[in-house]
Amino acid sequence: MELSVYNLTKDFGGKRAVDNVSFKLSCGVYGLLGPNGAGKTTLMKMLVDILTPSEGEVCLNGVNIHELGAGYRNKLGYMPQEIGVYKNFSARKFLKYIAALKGITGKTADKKIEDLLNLVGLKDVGRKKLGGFSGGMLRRIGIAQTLLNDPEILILDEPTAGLDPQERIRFRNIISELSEHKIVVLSTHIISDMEFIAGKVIIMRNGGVLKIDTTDRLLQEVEGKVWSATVSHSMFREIKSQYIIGNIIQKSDGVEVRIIRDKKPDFHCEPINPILEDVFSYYFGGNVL
Amino acid sequence: MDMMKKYDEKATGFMEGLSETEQQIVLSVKNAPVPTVSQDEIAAVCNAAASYYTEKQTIWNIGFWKVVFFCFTTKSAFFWIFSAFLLGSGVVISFPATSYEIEPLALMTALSPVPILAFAIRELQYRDNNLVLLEKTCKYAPAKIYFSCLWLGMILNTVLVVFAGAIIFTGYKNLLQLYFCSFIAMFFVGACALLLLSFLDNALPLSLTMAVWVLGATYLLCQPEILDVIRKASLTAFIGGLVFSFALFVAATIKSTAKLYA
Repeated sequence: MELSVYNLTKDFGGKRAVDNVSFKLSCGVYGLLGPNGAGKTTLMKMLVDILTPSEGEVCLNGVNIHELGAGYRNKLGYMPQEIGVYKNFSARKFLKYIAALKGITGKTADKKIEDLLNLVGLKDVGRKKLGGFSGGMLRRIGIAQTLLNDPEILILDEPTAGLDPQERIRFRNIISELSEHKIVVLSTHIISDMEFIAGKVIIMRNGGVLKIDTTDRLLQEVEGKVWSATVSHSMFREIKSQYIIGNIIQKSDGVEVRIIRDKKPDFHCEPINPILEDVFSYYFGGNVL
Repeated sequence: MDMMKKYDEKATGFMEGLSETEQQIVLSVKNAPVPTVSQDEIAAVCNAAASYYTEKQTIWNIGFWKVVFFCFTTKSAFFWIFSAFLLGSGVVISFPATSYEIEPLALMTALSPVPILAFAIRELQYRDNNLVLLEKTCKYAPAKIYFSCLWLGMILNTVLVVFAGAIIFTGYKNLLQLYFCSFIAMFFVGACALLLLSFLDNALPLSLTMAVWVLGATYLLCQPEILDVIRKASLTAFIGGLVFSFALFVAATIKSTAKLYA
């Protein structure tokens, strides 16, 4: 199975949100990384065919997904950035409604819904109205509805936002287990999630794809470019505008900083092993929100 | 080859219990050439069988209309429409208990669009654009489901109006005129409601429309001059009015569906 993107572009008025993007995806987990406004959500909406590209196309096994229509949507599981629900529906009723839209009804739907509620830890609140759910609980419902039709292609936009650490680990494990014969594309600002489950990372900036590579190779690129130093508060105020700062920890004897730089800084510091966050900082600068 | 050997060993014992004809049949089947089938073909057949058998097999066709009916009842549109009808009927039935007399034609015409208006209000009240995005990625297109639910709602409205006219106004001198006026009002006001729906973000203006229509139509249609015009109108005029309002409703359903699910 191969999901291919050819010269994909999307313009909104005068603004180009996605700029001439091309890549091919086969089975595995792909992380979509980029700052706010990079075009991740727009790209994902085009991958699930709810946004028409201004130019280019998305193909599944060589066939345009718009032509495939329901045949493509049947293989698709999509979790949007904001989960929309009917607030007066219970969790079970909402999943039953989405299951019906996906063509699953009757006892098959009931069994699937029970399994998924159990998987996402919401079995005890299945009868509770969605209007009373917390953000994290709604996100878990969002994950459950994505998996209703056993999709072969999973597009997840910020799936772990609002989940506590235990839920995030559980979610990562679910995705890792399911991803063996599926194409999974997930975007998240929680880079540690990506580091644990994504085999390849697609880095986006200003609507374009900067890089597509495995996490190991991306980390190798910044090997020897990440430094740790403990500096005084006054020195920190000097250096923060001059260097890309990855992380700051206030200590009793000063400020421990993580610096990303091709060459060793002029003050005393030690080289350290890079993490994926350092790759992000390297490409986008330490002050990117 | 090992399996064939085992088969041969088994077959020897097996053949002893068979008649001559049966033995001939077994031997001819055994000697018949078996065509080779590739693994891909076997996998394709198995996958087709698996997808067939995971579909629940019933005498009803699990298809689009089952999903439409499910969505219609799940979203409680049926109950909204029926509740609106009960409300209207309750008002009608309560009139003999008061000294206030209202012309049945006025009442039916005023109340006939209430169920479809209630349906439109219901659709808008809980609408979430994020949910629409999610619905668009499902197998069944939400635009088609909404369009079908709308017509299901209108059919239900028609049935309720016919029922109300036949039961509540038994003995009314001109039932045909009553039905024509009611259906024209139903389709025309329904069309206006759908057009409004495609421009609004919330349900309050639709609720106001319903209130203004019911009160305004009841008052106006009780005026002797207006009643006189309606009573003297020809069948052709009524049919023309019905065709026009129906066409308007069809156009409005297409427009509102396109706008809400673009």
